[in-house]
Amino acid sequence: MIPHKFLEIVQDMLGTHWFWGALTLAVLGWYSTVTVYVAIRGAVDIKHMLRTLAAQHREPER
Amino acid sequence: MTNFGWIDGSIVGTYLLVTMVAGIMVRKYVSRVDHFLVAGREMNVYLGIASLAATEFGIVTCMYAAQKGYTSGFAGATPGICNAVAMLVIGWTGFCVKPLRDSGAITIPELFEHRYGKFVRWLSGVVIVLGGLLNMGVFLRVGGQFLVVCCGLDLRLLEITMTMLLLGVAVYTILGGMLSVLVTDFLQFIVMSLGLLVVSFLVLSKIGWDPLVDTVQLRIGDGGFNPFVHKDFGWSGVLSNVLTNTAAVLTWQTCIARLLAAKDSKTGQKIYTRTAFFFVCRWIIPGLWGIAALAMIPPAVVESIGLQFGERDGTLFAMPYLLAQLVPPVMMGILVAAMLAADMSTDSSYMLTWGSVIYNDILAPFRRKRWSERKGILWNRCIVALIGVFLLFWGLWYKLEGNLWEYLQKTGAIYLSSMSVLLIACCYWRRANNWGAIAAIVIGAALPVLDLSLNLFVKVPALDANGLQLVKEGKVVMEGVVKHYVGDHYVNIGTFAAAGLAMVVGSLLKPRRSPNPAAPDKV
Repeated sequence: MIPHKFLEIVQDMLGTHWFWGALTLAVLGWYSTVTVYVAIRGAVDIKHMLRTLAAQHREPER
Repeated sequence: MTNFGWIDGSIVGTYLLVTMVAGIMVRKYVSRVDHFLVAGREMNVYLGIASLAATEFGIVTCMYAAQKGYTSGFAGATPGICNAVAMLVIGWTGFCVKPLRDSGAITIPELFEHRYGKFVRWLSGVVIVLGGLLNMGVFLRVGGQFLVVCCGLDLRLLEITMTMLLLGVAVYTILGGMLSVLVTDFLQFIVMSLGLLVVSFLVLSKIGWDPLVDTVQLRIGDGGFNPFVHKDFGWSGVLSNVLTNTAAVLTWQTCIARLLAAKDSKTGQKIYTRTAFFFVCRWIIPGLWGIAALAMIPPAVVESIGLQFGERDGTLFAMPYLLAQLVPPVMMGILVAAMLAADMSTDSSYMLTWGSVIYNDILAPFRRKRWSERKGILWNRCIVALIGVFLLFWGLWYKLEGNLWEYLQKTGAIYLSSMSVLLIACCYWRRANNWGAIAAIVIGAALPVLDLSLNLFVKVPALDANGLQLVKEGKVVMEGVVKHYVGDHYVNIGTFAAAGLAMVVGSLLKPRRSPNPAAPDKV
């Protein structure tokens, strides 16, 4: 039921004023995928950044 | 009536607690000024994308983009498209941003000192802070207004809501600086994205695409789909947005702070290109909510909400009012947490990055001797706290009249026009010198300030499309004299043109003395 309604909306979006419909679909698609990817890779970046800063923090004490 | 209940309150409370703890925990890594201001330049691509996206989307963004959707339909997303294109092209080519990052400067004015001298660095710092603070002065109030309308809070709680919001953000920004900002931005990006997606799908499934398109066609006409034929845009509006957004990508302090915190120029450019499309998202999603409000909420209701807040224009509140009616419990908690996330990341980053200009450039002449790291961090923390106090009082005092995006564009233009001209000339024009730089800064700041002042103090009756005086509740509607006779877009375009011209004329007028063009000029 839900996928059917979703497909109907997508069809509408690409039918009437397709430019804005396609752009809105691209925005929703971009957000859905990029958020997950950035969430995973960003967590790795944070870990790496904090490790490097911790090493810098220890250096002057040596 | 709203669907915000205790479950939603718990979701929001949990989110706030997690963010605060994460933000405060990383403070132990801050031992130097560059840790505080640019996170030790250890930021990599994906953290940069999350941080830039979270910073550039606050409640204020959501409100002005939704207001544009409400008043201009789909064409209201034009500034976002201009911004994305500018970001993609600049990130891809490295135009200005590569030499800027390679210079190793912490702020743009620091780079200017090498070409234009100490005085231009100081003056640039002053206009950047002036434009930036006036710009972000309305953030807190607008954020509070959104929460009051959306959660159905008592209007008298507006000031308390604003103060609480600011206190929460200030605590972790003061303690952890850019490190806290980056880590909390990352969490806020995830929560914010989740909320934006959930609500957008809800709006589309409950209202549908065709009714949204039909409403725009009926209420706004062809201009709702094509900015070139829209009465508030036209070619001048599109050009004005192209200039503002390109200048913002090059010199907007929160954007540039990410570039300067990146590991190297290549990482900075990647952050720009890969975040570019987000700038379309940040206009399309709230714009869609604004159009949904246009379809669902009667204009009389929108106007009455505006009057409750003492604002002349109620269109700003249409979107939060719609969400209060449309979003069910639990989902409402996710939405409010998402919006708080968006707002906190924006406020924290703005406080820090403008604070960095005050410390690095405006206070530079007072730091003849090198300050200790401890003293530097303490001063930075005090500056961030003082910006917080300013925001609170400006937010309480200043009442917005008219369109929010136009206000932000105008206050941003105080420095966007001159700083973008200075940066381009600094990187690519060997004849550029301090005479031209000073002339560009003065002209670039004077025109928007004059425009703002004249519009505030000299009013004339506003006219409708047929040239008749507008009357609301028996009173003649007034508008600023410059807005009436010249128009906001022409003022903006004129400011950019005048700043560019001032740079060229000023630079050419100065006699060439120094045999070494790379040597700094003296005033």
